[in-house]
Amino acid sequence: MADNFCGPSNALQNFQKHSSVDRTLQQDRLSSRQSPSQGFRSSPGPNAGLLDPEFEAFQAGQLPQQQFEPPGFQQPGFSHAPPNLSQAGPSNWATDFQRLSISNTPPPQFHQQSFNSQSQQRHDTGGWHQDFARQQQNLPAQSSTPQLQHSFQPQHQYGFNPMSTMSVAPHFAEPLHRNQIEQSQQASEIFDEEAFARAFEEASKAEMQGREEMKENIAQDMGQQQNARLEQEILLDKSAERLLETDPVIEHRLGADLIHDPQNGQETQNQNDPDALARTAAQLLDSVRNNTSEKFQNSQFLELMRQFRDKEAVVEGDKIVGASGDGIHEGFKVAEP
Amino acid sequence: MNGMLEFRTQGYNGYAVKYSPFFDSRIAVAASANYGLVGNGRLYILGLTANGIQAEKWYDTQDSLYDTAWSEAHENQIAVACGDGSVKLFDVSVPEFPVMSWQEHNREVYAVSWNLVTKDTFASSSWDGTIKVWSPNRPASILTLPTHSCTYSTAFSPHSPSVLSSVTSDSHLRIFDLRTPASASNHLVHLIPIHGPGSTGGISSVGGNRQNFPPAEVLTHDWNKYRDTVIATGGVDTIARTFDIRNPRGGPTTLLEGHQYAIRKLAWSPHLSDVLLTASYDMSCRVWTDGSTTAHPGIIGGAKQLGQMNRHTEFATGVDWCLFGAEGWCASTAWDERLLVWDVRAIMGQG
Repeated sequence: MADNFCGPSNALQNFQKHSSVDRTLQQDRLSSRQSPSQGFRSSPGPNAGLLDPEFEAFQAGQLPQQQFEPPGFQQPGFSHAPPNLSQAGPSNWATDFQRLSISNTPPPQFHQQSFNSQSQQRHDTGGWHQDFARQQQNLPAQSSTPQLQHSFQPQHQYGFNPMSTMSVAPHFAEPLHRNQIEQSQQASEIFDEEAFARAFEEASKAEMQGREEMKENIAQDMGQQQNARLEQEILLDKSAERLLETDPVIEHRLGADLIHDPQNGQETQNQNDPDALARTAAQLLDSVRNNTSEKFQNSQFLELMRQFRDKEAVVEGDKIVGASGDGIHEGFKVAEP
Repeated sequence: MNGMLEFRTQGYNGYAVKYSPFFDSRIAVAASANYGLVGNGRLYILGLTANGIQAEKWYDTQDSLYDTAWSEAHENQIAVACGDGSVKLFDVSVPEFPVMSWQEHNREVYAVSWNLVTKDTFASSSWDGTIKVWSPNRPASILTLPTHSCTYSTAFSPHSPSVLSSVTSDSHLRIFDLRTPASASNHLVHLIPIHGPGSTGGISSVGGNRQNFPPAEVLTHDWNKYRDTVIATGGVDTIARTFDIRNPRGGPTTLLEGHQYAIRKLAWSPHLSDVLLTASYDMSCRVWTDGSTTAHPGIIGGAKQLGQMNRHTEFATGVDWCLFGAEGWCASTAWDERLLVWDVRAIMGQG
């Protein structure tokens, strides 16, 4: 896999990457079906503990189009799941895969989905189970449906109890949201629903088994994890909001964006205003005020800034001249022609 | 420190330095009079000779020069980013004037970066909040990507002909994929806040990169030459960060703290996948490892400073690695009107 990331890539190589990912996942699913008690890779390998954080990091990733959605679109309530969810049957990651094979969406998002099943089981109180359960409830009556609902029921309660509504909402709004988009786009996909249903059932059993022992750990981690995740979500939402703005708000601006705002029409005035230059120089000097190193004390640039601040030097046209009019202040060299 | 070569860019304060991808003895320096505040710019074409560094040629420009990039396709051609908003292409075999000049940006152009895969295009980024993609043969830009923020740096991925990135005043790293449809997102595929907390729940976060930082201007970034999803950024908040764009929501993978003032320029080593070189307003150049080669699989650790070069006496603004020969040679330029060529192995363990 690592070799794939080296060297120039091309479309064929990308396709090969995707197809190799595909095989891996298929095998995962098949192997877990053969040993139902194990569920989705729930038997920890020697490195399982080390890799868990990485799984979560992947999980914190997201589909790119998420960033471009209007923030108001994310509704916290789970009960708002639209009826057409039922048509999903097939899971998120499967639709993701379908799209991946076609488009150039990078592989990481694919990983994210495949990791969800593992990491959410362990730390996130079965977010996808809830999604799935919702889907199952809306499915036309099948023989397995009542059983599944039964097994998922405690999951629901468990999932909601330890967390405040606040921390639940932003985190879970995402998968739900994603569902809606995908289903509208991918309504015509065809899958082996039964096979998926079986896989989910196995996963849920494993979940139930591991739940008790996980409970203590989760309770400890939950607050911290959710808070951190919430912060990150807020941050990313802000970024998305900013991206959406056709007319960025002034308060968002930093540094250079503040100094030369092409929209406020004051730039030319600023450039010709000796006071503005003096102010900028004073700010700069202030920011290095505490630096007593020899280099900073001897800096010719900082000396020039001092001259600007004290109005001993000013910019005239394309040159820097001494304010007294007799040329350049000593200590500052001007470029020779 | 022995073996350090020096060239004085008399009267011009260095802004950027680039080794030629074709000749191991050729270096270009983009420099500006009056620290780039007002006045002319000058592009130096320098040769490393047995008698030290000699100026083979130089080109004067009306306005300041802030960056330069050698053509990857033509050994004599080199693009520059100008303070008057123009992008120019010089040919070393042609005296005095540029062979092409494009006047499309509305404000200072801060960065130029050549496409390293197809080698037939290059990108420029500007204070006017846009990135433009150019072909040396065309009279107008091929493509304009808006960022709506002062774009200090843009770079093509060294691994893909159609992926490019930028960092901006608004504290974000942007990834554009030109293969995506030109929809409302203008090819933007990732918008990554630089100031976010570290990887969620990562073991490395115990050490404190769980912190949230205030947004700060990002001045420079570079793609790792070996790991095609890893990007390093540096800027006003003095911290160099690495990101893995496979996990755009995961925040920085590593934080490299040590510079006292803003990082103006950084570059990954062309030889070692974990080694980073930075130039800062604290007048030092530093060498770092991001720990990716020493850490256990799946855990980032061991990120640290390897050495520090303190010879510059004004703000250090440009660094570049030599692509040829031994793995440690690099060049740095600063506002002290000097180009220094030195071997990072000589400063290991310092600072």
